[in-house]
Amino acid sequence: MKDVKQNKEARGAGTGLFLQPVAFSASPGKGWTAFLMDCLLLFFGLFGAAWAFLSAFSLPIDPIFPLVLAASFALLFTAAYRWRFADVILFVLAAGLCVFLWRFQEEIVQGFLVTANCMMAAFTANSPYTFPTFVTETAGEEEAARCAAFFVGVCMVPVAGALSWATVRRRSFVFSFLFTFPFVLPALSFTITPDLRAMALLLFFWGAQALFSRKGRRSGGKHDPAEAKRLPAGAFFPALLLALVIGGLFLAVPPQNYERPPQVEEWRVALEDTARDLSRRAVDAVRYHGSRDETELSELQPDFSGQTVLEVRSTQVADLYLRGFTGSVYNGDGWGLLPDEAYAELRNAQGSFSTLNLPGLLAQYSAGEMQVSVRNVGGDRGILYFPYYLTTQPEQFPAAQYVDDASLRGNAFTAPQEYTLSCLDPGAVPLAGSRSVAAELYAQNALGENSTQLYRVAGFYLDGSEGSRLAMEALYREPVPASLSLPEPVATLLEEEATYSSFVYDHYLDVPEELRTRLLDAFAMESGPLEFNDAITWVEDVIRRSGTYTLDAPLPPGGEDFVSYFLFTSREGYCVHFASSAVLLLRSLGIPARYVEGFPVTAEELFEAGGGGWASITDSRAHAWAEAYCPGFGWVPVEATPGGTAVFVDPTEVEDPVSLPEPVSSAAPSSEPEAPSSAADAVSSRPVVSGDPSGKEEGAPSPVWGVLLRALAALFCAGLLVLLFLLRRAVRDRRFDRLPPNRAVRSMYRYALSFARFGVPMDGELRRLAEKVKFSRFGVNEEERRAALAALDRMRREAARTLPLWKRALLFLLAG
Amino acid sequence: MWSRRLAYLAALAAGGLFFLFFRGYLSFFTLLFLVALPVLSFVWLLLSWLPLRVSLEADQLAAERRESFVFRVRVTSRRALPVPCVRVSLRLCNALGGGVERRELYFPFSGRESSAELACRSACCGCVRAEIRRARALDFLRLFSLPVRAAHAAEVFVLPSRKPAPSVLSENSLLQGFGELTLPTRPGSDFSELTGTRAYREGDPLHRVHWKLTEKTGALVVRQGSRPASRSLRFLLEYGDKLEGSDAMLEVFSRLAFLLAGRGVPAEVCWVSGGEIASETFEDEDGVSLLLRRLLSVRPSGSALELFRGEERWKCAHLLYVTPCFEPDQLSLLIGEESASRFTVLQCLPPAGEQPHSPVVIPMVPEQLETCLSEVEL
Repeated sequence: MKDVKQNKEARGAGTGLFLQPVAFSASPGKGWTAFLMDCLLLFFGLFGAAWAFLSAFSLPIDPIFPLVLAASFALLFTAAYRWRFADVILFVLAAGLCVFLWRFQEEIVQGFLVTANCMMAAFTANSPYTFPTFVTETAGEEEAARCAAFFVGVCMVPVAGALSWATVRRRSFVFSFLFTFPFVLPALSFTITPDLRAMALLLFFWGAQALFSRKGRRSGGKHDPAEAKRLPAGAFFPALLLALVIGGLFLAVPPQNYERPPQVEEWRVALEDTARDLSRRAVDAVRYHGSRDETELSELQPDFSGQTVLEVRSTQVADLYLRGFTGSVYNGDGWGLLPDEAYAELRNAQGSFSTLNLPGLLAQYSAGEMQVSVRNVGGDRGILYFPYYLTTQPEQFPAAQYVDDASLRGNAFTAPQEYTLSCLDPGAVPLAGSRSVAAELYAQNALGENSTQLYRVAGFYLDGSEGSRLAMEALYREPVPASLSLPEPVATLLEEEATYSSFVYDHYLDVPEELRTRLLDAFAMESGPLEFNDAITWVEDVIRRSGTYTLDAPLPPGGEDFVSYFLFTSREGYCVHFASSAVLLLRSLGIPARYVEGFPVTAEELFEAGGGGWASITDSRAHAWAEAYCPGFGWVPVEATPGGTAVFVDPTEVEDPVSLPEPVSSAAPSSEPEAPSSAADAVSSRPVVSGDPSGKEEGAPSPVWGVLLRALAALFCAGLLVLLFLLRRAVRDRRFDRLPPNRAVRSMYRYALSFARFGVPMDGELRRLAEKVKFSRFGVNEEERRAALAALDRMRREAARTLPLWKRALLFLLAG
Repeated sequence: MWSRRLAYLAALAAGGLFFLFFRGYLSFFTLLFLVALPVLSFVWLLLSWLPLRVSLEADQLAAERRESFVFRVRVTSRRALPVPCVRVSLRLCNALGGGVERRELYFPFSGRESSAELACRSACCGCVRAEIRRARALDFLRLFSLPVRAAHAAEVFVLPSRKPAPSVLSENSLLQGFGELTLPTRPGSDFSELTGTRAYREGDPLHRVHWKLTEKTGALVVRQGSRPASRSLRFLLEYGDKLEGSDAMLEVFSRLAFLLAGRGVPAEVCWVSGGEIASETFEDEDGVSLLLRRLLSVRPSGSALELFRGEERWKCAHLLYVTPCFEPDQLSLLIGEESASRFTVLQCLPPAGEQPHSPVVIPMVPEQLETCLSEVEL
């Protein structure tokens, strides 16, 4: 036991003591008891893993087969380690395995295929996916079982070897677990439960390994190799106790009586929701985030950092409104989505086209198609911004989820950062305001008869009376004219649009009653029937004039209606105020409307970006607007915020502008003195919580800061690199000091070789000491270690003196 | 142990997550098992812990420098249930100074008795003391621990060399009219009275030989005087701040002391202990050995020279000041000292480089000790 070797001593610093590694001696375990324990443990581990695998995937193999194999291997390997012929056994088994593989290769391949098929079948049965299976060449079930047994038997050989090493030789819980857990992991991943008896065996095996594993505690800095390898006789009792505990647990709570507590399910759901929320927050914390499912208007405060959120490119220069969030239900303080039951109704009624595509597909013969590319550089990747009159259908954009009639969504982590959508030029889509007129127009255009003359239906009223509402309802519920012979797919599209229009009328007119009354009292006016455009324009005008644009809008006191406070008390607000007011006024008048958040892109910006160039849209451009439904045509943006307009005026139309305001381009100044002069400046109100809320109102940071930041970052990285290299050197020097002298000198020599590669001659003293370590019986002592260190220092100094700068830098990088 | 606890908590958390997301009975059972396992481990620890004892012993009382000696830690249990693990924290140090070595020994799961042997060698002399600071029994999973009674300390004296120094020992060369070397405190040592006889020692003057007794006994016998005479040899030992200094000092002293003891020359030794000057005499080799044991256990405290000088009662013929380091300004202190007729300073750790030759200060270079000791005249 006293295995004292000179070169393994550790000299304590300043104590003058040389301490040998500790030599343990224990009353040796009774040979046969230890042998039996090891054998049993190995058997349980091996058989448990094999049985669990077979039972989980219902392999056509009798458990007796792996039982016999496991017992044989357990006995063989335990004996091999006990009487020290494990190397021979492993060699013989490996050779035997090779011969077996060569002789029965066909059967083993078939066995692998059979096993794989069983696994795939189990995965398919326990998941919503279909896994492929392989074609096997086995004659029947017996043949398949035989081949599978061959394959499993062959696999058990290396597993037995590895597990025996982990269990008997090394007695390590970690390795034992690692070599057995993969047999149950695939099954558990697909919620397939292996045979409980097999799992009990495995749990016993793991538990016993956890209890009896050799915890390699350091004694004097080194793991003592003389620690007891054999289990003592007394190990039998804790193993027995463990088995009793497992059996007792089975008896106390039998599987057939087990019922999962409902509370656990609630916790699981809560945990999943929290995780989802946290991950979303984590993503949102560094990016601009728009509203996803709801927005709370009173909690939104304008806060811009100037970071670019989107980059947009278009094949045509046109005003675009990129929609992100659509609010349908107003709750007095914010907007949310329609309840699921309402959408269920829509899904049931929906035909073969997405409601998001209906307007675009209908008008595709009337207006030219354009491609809009969007690159999300700083926004929530789960929100896919899309333009009006979208013609890209779901099957053409599989990464996106077409959420009913509201939005496009993607996975926050895997959604495409850049995507291209097809849409129609919104300025070229004519709005007639009537389904029958629209049908005529679509039919003509579909047949190639491009008509520029459009009859517009004047059917919209501004008085909010019941009669007016009924009249407008007739427009929304107007069926497709049966007399018209419409070509496909126009006919189908119109039918679906008619169905959807009815849905829209039923769900997008809700306004709190008190607010409706106040709005009608304040704004309704007697008028004859107006065209859709005129009605929209009138609402825009009225809302624009009803308040002053400011980013410092006061918040409504607690409990007070947001829109009501804006329109009738404060009369100060920004886009969310105006947009919400326009939606509610339109609804009060009987025109279905919704609240939208997103980013407007002006034709000017696209023009300035140049052909093929990307227009940068910063967070300050986030905007809110209203949209109203035009029967036969779809949702149309309503720009009620002072400084912007979204009325798509047919350029061929010449109309008496009596009730129309002057066509205001996106760049023209508005009549409101305080309002910003263009849609590009009609800024945002969206709450911007970006990674760097600098508090600036708009504008990109100065380029000087960018350069300075980059320089600082580069300096920091360089400093970090230098620190790392210095740390590496310090660790290495410490190692030279702490290691036993022989190992230290060997390490120093290996390190010195890197100098030699750069042309620094090897120090003779160091070489001599390294040779002494390698070839001498006793190695080196402390004084010689110090001499070696001195020699290494001399080499370092020599390198610094003789090598050119670039070589020194390279040496520093490579060798430290 | 905290890493084990964290690992267990992680395993428990994994089991909990498995239970949450896997609806089958297996997940519930696994969680129960994970909870029950440490309970089982702790119960076993409780059952096996009480009759446990830990003892510490050394295999020998004394050893030479660089000679191996062993501290043995023994763990015994009176019960058949073996304890899963015993952790023993050992502390080793040299009483003369220097740092402290700490070792933690983990006794694995074994039978009724197990032991660990820690073989040591000491490069410096002194009293190497090993003590058990803490002994705890751990459970299988290393999550829980309970204290264990332990016998506390063992020590081994690491002795300096016993080989007599090759110094010149000549009583007649000390002073003119030198007679016998006697100790002032020895009763009845007056020359005018013969108090007894003793065996002849080399250097004894011939006129003191008792020829009649010599003829009768057949061996040379000399007369012993009784009047005390201030003819004595005194060592003043200065312990160094560092272990190496004290070691070198004791090595030199030991060599000289064994030289004197072998020649039957008594001497007195003074050193600082507990802030005061302690002294003891030796006459023979057994006395030197006993004295060395005492000197090896001394914890250095204070300067011996500062306490010694100016003390009238310490008058002697030849004072040998054995010190690890000696400053030139200390020489002036010694010159003015009247407590001895002659001084010799043995500087045990002389600084490197050429030193000016001095008849009083003799450097004792450790690598050339034999040569240096041969220059000493007693």
